[in-house]
Amino acid sequence: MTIKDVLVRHLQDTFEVETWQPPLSDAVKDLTAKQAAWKPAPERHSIWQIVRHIILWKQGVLEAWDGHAPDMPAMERADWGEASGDEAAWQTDVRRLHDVTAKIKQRVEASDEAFLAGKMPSYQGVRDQTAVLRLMAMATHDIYHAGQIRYIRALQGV
Amino acid sequence: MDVQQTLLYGLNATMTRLQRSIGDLTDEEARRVPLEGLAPIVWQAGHVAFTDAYFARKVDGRSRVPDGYPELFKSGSGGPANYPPLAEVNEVAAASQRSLEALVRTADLATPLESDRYSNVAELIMFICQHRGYHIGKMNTLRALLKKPRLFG
Repeated sequence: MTIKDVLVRHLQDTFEVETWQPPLSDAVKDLTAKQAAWKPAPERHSIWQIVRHIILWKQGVLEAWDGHAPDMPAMERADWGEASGDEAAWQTDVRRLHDVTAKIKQRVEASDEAFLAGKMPSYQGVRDQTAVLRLMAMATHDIYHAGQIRYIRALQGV
Repeated sequence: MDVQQTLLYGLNATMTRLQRSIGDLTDEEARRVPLEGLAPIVWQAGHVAFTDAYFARKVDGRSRVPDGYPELFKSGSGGPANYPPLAEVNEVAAASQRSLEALVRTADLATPLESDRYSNVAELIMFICQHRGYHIGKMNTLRALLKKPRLFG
């Protein structure tokens, strides 16, 4: 058993394979743009905003993987913008979520144990982080938001 | 960094977030149901504590939860009920966490387990982290509906 075995399974079970709870890809499935943009209250986040938030931070993981520590304050400023549009725009964001996730999974599958156990850049001005821990936290972030989305759907009756 | 350290990180990170999610709530807030069909925060935390102990017991044969927890916190429950105080649920969750940490430190992590959700002890621990993460997400949507401060991204 290797940390890569554990990590690949975690990536699968949080995003694409249902174990006990629906993974993130299921949580965002079969929603209309209107349902995705719905908010429980004006100051709360919609499912669409959550999807863009996850894409943003996964892109940050890819940047770090490429050796460029992301600028966290700049990412935070870009995060949680309003999100709405037509069905095509919503489906584009769902596709972007799948694409960035697949890219990370492919890289993990192509990685060796030494890389995953080693350090990768974190954020500018922040200490480097162990790769496997960063990737594990990223995947747990997926299932956290899957739980949130499940209840935002329930509030809408979908 | 090895498998054991990775699993301990996962357990600690998820338990810390669970405890932060209930740390500033009153018992009344934790029991409030904003919409029929949504289980309250105390149920989410109790369900995690109960299931953590259930899974730990599959391996260590010892872990227990107080009487009444299986009925109150099993999957599919979550409606209005006489829930225990949040402080008690937190203690049970902490005890389950200690059992799981001990298990990770002492068990052979490659020991096969029969389940369609995990095939060995290491996968069981990751499954537990995923299950916790999912319910922490629900807890934080419920916190938002209670107008409590946002804790995580």
